[in-house]
Amino acid sequence: MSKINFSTFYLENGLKVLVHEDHSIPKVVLDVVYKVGARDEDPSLTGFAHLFEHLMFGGSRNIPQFDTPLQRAGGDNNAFTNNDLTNYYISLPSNQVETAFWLESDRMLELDFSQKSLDVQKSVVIEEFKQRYLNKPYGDAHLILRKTHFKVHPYRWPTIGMDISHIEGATLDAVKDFFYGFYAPNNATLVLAGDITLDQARRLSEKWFGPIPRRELKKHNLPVEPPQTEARSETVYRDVPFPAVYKMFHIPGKNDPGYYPADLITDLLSHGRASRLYQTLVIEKQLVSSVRAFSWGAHDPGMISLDATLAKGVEPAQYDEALAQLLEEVQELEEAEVVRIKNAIETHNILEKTTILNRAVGLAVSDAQGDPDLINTAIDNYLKIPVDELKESARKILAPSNCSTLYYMPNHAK
Amino acid sequence: MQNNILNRIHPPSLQPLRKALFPLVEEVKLNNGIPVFLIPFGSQEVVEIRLVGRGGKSFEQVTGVSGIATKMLLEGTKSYSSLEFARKLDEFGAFLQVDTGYEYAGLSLTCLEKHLENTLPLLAMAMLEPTFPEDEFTKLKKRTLQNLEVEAQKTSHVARQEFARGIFGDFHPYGSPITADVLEKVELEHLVAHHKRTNSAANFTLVISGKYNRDKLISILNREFGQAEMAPKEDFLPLSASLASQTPGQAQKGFDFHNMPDSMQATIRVGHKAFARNHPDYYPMQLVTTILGGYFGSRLMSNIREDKGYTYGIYAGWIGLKYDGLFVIQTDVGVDYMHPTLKEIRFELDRLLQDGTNEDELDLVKNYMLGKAASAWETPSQIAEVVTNSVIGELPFSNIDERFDIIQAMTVEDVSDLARKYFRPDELLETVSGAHREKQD
Repeated sequence: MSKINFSTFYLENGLKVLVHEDHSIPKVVLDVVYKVGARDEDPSLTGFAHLFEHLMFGGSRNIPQFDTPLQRAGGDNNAFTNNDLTNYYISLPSNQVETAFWLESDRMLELDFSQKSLDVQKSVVIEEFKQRYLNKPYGDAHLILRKTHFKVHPYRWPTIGMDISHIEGATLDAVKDFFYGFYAPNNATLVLAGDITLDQARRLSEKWFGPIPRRELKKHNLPVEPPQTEARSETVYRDVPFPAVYKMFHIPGKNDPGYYPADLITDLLSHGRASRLYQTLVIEKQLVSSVRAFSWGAHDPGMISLDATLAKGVEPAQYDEALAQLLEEVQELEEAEVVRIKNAIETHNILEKTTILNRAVGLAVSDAQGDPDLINTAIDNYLKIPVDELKESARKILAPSNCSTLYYMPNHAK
Repeated sequence: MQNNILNRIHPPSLQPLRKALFPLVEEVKLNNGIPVFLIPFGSQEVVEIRLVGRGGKSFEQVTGVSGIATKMLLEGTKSYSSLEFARKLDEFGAFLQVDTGYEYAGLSLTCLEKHLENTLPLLAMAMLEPTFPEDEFTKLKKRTLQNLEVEAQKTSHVARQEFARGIFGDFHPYGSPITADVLEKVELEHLVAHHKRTNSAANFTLVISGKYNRDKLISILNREFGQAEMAPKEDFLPLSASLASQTPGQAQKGFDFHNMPDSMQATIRVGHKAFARNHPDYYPMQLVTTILGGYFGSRLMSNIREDKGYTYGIYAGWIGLKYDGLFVIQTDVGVDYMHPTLKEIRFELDRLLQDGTNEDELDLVKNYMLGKAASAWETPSQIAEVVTNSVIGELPFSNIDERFDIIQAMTVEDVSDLARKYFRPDELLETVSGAHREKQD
């Protein structure tokens, strides 16, 4: 795998700039990551960072519409918010790159704070909330279980927010405070990737982002989640055809070396048709119709989520028993199994870096995590983990006392 | 200071659009005649291999058999059980996916170049020597049935299924739904017969893109596929083809409501029958439909999302299938916005029919479409996908690049003419699934 090379420089206002050159196709990606996410929200106004992301497309100080001029330049763009950061990206033909600088710098300079835009985007986000979480069977399961799993840390709500009423309550004043407190060159990293030279990147960054003033950042200390010491569980009844069981396990944050074995264990449990969960629970014992585990890695300690829909006629207790046994048996892990998982991780690592966009986003989120070179180094942190360390990590993380369970039951089972 | 002279009001001047050219496609034949399309591409040692057979839905003799038959290709071969096969793939860090379409079904293998020697035999085994074990079939069928029961509670699933049924009818492969009742009747012997009939080596095509050693690759392919027996190519037409020549209009139009009392949103699908993918106006209609609802700045999105806030997203598509096609607008809206949304959809469609477009909008949409198309050819997987679609559609590869010239040449008058010619507001089917609310205006 060839390394993703990049150069770094800073503007006087504190904006960090990363440049990755690749001239193989005439395309360039401009990505800006702001180090603010849902964890920075007021607990009574959750979902705000994401709502704010929507407002970033509603016009800025000198440009009434963000999308129109970009589309005219043959470009495309989008953004995402997670619990730790907010990321915006534009991809366009490389000979139009200045249009991206013009657009992205103007909305860092200042937004056009409009009541109409706020009202419409609140409504759009409420529909998004329904579409993603509420208007489908089991859609709100993670929403519910997060609140049990995290007692104090703001990871107890997802980026969409804890409740629709929080989104309804957002005011224009809160929007302005948020902008001036978090959207600043000294709280952002600009990534330029693709068909652009370092000189060009330097000149255009100075020209468009240089004049934006440094801002005083809102500071706050995030509460630390106390260690969980005993199993937690709760039950809800809904209009669904089959019981489903959701479990969450605490894992270390992404900057802790313990994150890598935790993530690898998740793959071991759940990656592909040879995985332990699939083979034991779906095929051999036929207790579930579907099962998956994924690690939700974050800057602060995150979690592994293990979701299963039970097969017709199976009781949660039967599933719990079989799962407990399976998790115990991870201690009998063998080298060959670990090698297979590492090979999959290796292929995946190469595939995810084939597009310019993925490389730009990868550099941006790695930088927000603390080190842009993680885009190159993270893979070795997986490949070097010895089997013993995996077993030890599994023993700690998959312990019942580290787990919260949600039993999502059909109304007819009441 | 530079700051004082910086003009932030006016956009930087635009540069002329550059036309992107699709990479060259080389066709070679294996020793037994199987065609292989090679597109060397990319800087990483990654290879994507698509093995395309004819096991799609339009070739079914028993409704519902194709999807599950393709999935069963991974559930056991002459040499390996399902689990052994999955472990072998993992051993080489390879990903193998199944895909079932209307006129084709196939497998896609993604792996590192260094593992081709070991992974291509697995691909060959899955397609040439599947054993369709009874036990795995029973379990797969049971799981699929259970998943269908969950899907049936989603407004999006119900609307998608009922809209396709309304447009093409119950007996057309493009319209017939795979329900629990349909799937219940599918038996193992049907799968075996379907596979034998549609996936003989004489029906295969291979599409390969990535960074690889050409001679070595061809020699492995000849070893794994080049000796397969080429039964005489059966000259059977897919059902979609025979129906295309005889169906008159579409089966259903008007308001088609499916009450799902507890839903918080309604899924809306509005549209009518269109034409097949090889129609000369396919690309021109892509442009017309993009103006209406094909990008973030589209008329539907600007009105219904960005002005009214009724939805998270609304899209229009002009979809060309091999032997037929459909025009569809789709969105999910709060249940109270159902009728207001239908009204605005009609408003925007009528406006496009009556007033057409203008130079400014046309220019913007052209640039957007061409810019996007040019940057979509970036990975071996994307490249293989484009070529596979041409192969399945039996379209010449020159067609891939021609879109640039066709779209570039479109005028404001063309847009009006095409919109009036192909959009038929009187024949719209409006399928809605969601909770019932009183009609409001």
